[in-house]
Amino acid sequence: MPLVEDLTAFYRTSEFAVSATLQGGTVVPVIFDAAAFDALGMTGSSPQARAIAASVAESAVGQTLVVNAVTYRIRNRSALDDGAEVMLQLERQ
Amino acid sequence: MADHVREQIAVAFVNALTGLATTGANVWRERDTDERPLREAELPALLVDDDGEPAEISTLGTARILTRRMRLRVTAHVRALTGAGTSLNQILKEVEIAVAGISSAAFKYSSITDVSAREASEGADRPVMRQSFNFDVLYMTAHNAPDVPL
Repeated sequence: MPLVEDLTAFYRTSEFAVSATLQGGTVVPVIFDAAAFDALGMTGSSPQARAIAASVAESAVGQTLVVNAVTYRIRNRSALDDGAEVMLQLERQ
Repeated sequence: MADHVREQIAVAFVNALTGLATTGANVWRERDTDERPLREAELPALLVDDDGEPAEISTLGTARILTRRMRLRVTAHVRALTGAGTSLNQILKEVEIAVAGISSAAFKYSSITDVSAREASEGADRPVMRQSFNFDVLYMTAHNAPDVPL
């Protein structure tokens, strides 16, 4: 019997995850980070959201994602490890 | 004793470049942006850096005269979701007009010599871009009076 992963335990909004709203209104749990990131001598941050792959389709790249009332555009979606999770690179709008 | 002529020139540049329409008061001299990066409220910005100076002897004798070409690098920094390249060209226009308008006895003329390749990054929360505009500033002094422009 194959192992069936239940990733939702890692994405409880009562713990480390937050609710994020995809363009179109779908709400998904993500683990959000926005560490400081300086580029070309200018301060900034590197916002990214880790999510369950099945909850954020590849077609979401280029669309908006609202996290903590801030609107971002999904710039890139890359698989993590076995591909069950993805990292979304975000651009602040 | 007055400042060295190259200091007089640098001050004239900074004064001329302060208050431009796009970059406003965001003008710095010799700021190490690796250690002290420009913050969001400080953008778009101009950095003015001394980029060296070749000099040559123009007359011989005890009061020989030096012809000197001070190089000044003006680097524009922009952060924008769209249109950063257009903004850089607008800044270049404003910078060139401002430099052409400098009225100073410190130098004979200044001329833009090179617009460097643009650097861009989309690694941060918003795209950023920077580009340097390089100027040559011709001035002359006696070898023993570098604070007196001729």
